[in-house]
Amino acid sequence: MAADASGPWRGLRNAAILLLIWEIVGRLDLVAGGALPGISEILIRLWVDWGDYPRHIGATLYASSMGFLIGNALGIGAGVLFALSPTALRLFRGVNIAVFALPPIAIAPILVLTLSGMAPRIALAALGVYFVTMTATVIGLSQADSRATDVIRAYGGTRWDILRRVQFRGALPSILAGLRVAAPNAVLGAILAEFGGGGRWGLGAYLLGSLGRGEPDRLWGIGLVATLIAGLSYGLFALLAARTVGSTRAVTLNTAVPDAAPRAGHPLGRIALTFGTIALPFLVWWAFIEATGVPDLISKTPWGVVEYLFLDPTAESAQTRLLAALVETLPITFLGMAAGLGFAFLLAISSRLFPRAIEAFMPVALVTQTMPLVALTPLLVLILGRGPSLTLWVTISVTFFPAFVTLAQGLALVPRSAEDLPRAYGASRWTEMRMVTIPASLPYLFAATRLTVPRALLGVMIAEWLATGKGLGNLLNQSRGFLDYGMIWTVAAVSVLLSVLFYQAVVIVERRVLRRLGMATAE
Amino acid sequence: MTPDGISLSGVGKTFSGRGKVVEALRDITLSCPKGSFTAIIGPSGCGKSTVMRVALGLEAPDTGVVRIAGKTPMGAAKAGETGVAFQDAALLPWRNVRRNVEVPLEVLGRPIAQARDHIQHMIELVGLKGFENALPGELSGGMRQRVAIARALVTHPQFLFMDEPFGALDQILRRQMNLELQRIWTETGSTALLVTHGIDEAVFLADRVVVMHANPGRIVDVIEVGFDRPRAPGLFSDPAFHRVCDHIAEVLHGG
Amino acid sequence: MSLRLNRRHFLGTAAATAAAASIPLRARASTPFTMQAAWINDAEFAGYFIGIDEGYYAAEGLDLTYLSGGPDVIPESTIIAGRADLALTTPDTTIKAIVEQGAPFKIIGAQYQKNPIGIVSLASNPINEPRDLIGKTLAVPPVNVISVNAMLALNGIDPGQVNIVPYAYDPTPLIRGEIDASLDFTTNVPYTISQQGVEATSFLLYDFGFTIYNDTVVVTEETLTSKRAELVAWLRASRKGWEANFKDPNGWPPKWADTWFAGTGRSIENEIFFNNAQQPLMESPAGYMGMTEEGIEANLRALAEVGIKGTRDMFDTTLLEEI
Repeated sequence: MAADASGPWRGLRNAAILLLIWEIVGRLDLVAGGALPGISEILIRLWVDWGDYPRHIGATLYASSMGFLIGNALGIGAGVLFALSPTALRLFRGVNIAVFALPPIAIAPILVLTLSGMAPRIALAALGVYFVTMTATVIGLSQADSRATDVIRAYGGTRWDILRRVQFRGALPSILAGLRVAAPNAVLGAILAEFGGGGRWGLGAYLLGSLGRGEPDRLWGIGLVATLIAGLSYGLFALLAARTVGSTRAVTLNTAVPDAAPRAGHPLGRIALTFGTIALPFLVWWAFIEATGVPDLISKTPWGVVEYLFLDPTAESAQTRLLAALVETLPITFLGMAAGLGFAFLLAISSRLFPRAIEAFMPVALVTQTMPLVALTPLLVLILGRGPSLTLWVTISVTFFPAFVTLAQGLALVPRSAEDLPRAYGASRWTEMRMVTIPASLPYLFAATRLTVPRALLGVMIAEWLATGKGLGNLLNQSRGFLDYGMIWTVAAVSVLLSVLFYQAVVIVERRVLRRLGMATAE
Repeated sequence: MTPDGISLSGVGKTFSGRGKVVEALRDITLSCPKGSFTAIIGPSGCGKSTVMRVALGLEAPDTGVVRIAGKTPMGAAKAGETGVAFQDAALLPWRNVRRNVEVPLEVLGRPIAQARDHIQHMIELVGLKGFENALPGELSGGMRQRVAIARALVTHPQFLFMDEPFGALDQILRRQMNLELQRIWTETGSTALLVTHGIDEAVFLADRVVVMHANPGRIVDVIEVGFDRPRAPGLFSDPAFHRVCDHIAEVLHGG
Repeated sequence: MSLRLNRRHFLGTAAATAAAASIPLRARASTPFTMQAAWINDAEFAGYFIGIDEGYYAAEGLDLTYLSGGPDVIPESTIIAGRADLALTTPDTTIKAIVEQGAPFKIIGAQYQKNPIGIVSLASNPINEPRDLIGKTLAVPPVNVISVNAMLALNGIDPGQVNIVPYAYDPTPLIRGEIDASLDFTTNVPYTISQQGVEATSFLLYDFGFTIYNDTVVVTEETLTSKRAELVAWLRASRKGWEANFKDPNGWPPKWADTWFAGTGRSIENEIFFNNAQQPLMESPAGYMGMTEEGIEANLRALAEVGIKGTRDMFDTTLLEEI
């Protein structure tokens, strides 16, 4: 505990050492023949290019703010609805999982096809926000102090009074914590859509224009600015939360799609509800297409995809291509997920055993999370080539960080007395880890697994698109060139469906295992 | 000094954090003779749990020396001479009752298979026969606490440390556990150190009650309790018992 | 900005529907008209920028809205969705869509008479003809794999003999020697590479049998009927823009440093190089944006080699004749 006071300084010192190593490695062109520039080179380039930035930053801020507002309005609205009505919560479970699980890379082309102007960027930003805020709202509202609720009820208060006077105020810290996590998501969503969407302004558009120049210092500069915006947006809401509710609630990366306990109702009613849960995402899809009014040739309804895959004359060829792509994509996705989780797990364990080393590593890890992958991949190709190792690394880099945060939280929550027990018998740190900390973090390992499902698919598809030329990522891109709209929608639908199925599979295994072990699901 | 008991001499400990420095313990000197039962009592934050943690080797003291049968606390722990029960039962939720009781043996690297009968005996001793395969989540608070006691005893400890082991239990259950603990302690003949905030519990169980005050955490008095053993439940309503309790309460409240 | 464009486009669609085609074009106030480009702003679209800046479209009665492209933008989609009247496309994609999906497209003009796409390599490890690619690693954007395969087939090379990997819009792997060649605009990348202190060499797919246009002007059949006059006006103004451009290919790009080229991340010198390099690829006996019978024939022949069976009626040269 005596070390606490010097903690921030030590962190700064370690970060400074790491930056210095980066600088030296970059200056001496040690990585990939100079594809990793020194920090000073990146900053100088940023200074030179600064004239270009304001409008790009402005556009990115505009799209991400709009997405943030819309996504949060929907998220909070839906959260309130779900907190009031367990039936609605169950009915929308399918939609919620789909939103959580959709890989943005597969959705971006669909949005660009069906929406125009700023709309695809705003939509992708909003999609990144909705889930986080919705879950935070539901959890915040449902955790309201039941005694305080009883007080309002005892004085004849209505459901609305309770919601207004107790639950909202009680939920505020949770919602604000949600907004904090959601804000960087909005920025990254907007940038991804900017990259592909064909507008002139926005950091993503700037990145695309700059890629062709073969100047890594520019690319890293753009990445750094993106990181800064994402970081500042996080900080802004952290500050807001501290000011308004005086709360520094720990950030939770929630990966559990909220669910209501099944109510003993009429069996027919329950069947109808289950059917509705499954049907609703498809209904939303269909309604989206109807609302955009884009012609059938471009936009495919769920039925359109079924026709394309099973009934059209070209169905057989489509199936063959899809299957071939899946055979290439799925194994490496699972492998990448396992590797990402494994890495996160090792890191989380190490952060308990060697906190200092990990503290220094964290700032670098954070940069890799906001550095747009489209900028990193060509550089990674130089280091790793184009084989499975590249795909694995890209996948690990997109999965490990959120998984690590989740696991580290889990490890931190292990009660002290449980860890004291083996120690009191003279156990080594490692025995303590093995006997208590690691098994205790199992619920968080499952939570982290749920989180990595869609991200792993995202990482693999980006690597396939930009480096290896295989699998779903490549199929999606070639289909764009061939105007094969059926395949574009199919790849998007299949990748979301896969994520959802795998998510559900993890949930089922998780429930079984944890129930047998007498443990609770990590929220 | 008691070379074969628990001895703390001149122990001091300060914690610093968020710009504040707290003197948790100042000059704690305490010796528990072999086979004795000592209770430490004091208000919240007086450092009584810290005394226990220092004696167990979980915290290193800034000043002073701690010896358990002449060894360092960790030395005694690694030799398997200590047993410990914490305030919350600190059971591992994914292990059933038997596997929880086995934890100390595993840590010490002792063969589990050969200890089967002994483990079963410990479980029966705390009255949990038939619950060997139950998970902690399926047990009541009192049952969990009894698992913790069985676990503390499984290594045949010569030294038994207990940090408010019955703190979470209701009065009725607590009395019952006090009786059982006395029986078990008598059977094992170990040296016991109990941290508690229940005056009657301390008086009923201990040979000597150590009273602590806070800011800084220090020992203000040691009161000998001379009732004959084994002590029966009737003792709780004995006027002599109440006189001792009242005296301790006076000392506690700054007398 | 885009939101404003959208509203304008919406109003435009409404206005265009309301306005009877019988009213002579020039007598009307300017008609809203939207074009979808194929990529982000660079010298590839210089003629249109001139047409807008110099008022050529306005003089033709068109209020032109220009939409930039990007990797997720499929120009053909924009016209099907009715968000643009006209799009610049690659003919292989367009004709494949007509043949295989019955897409209602007509090609009414062509910007590049020779597709600028070619194989770029380093002078130190030169690849001068298709045969040199055997056993080498070539980076190709996924959408263009079909073109490369066609070119290889036309030259009697089994595509399996070339290691084709995706191209991620970044020449760094080529400069660092991770790949031996990449498929890109020969009007552009050799300059970028030279800026890194390395010399590049290139050849066009066109010169090795894959004789197709690029940036073909594509409209839907519906637009062709309902907006014929506007399309002719657009072609006329665009040709004028390109003529003006090539009178002073070095002079135009610097003028757009703070407008069309602002914030693209590219340099003006690069655009000047591009602008000069593209001139020979755009000149046609039929004039800029033109399509000759021989050219169309060559397109159909090259595409037939890759199994895309296009026909002459997918091209409509009658609008060009009206210019």
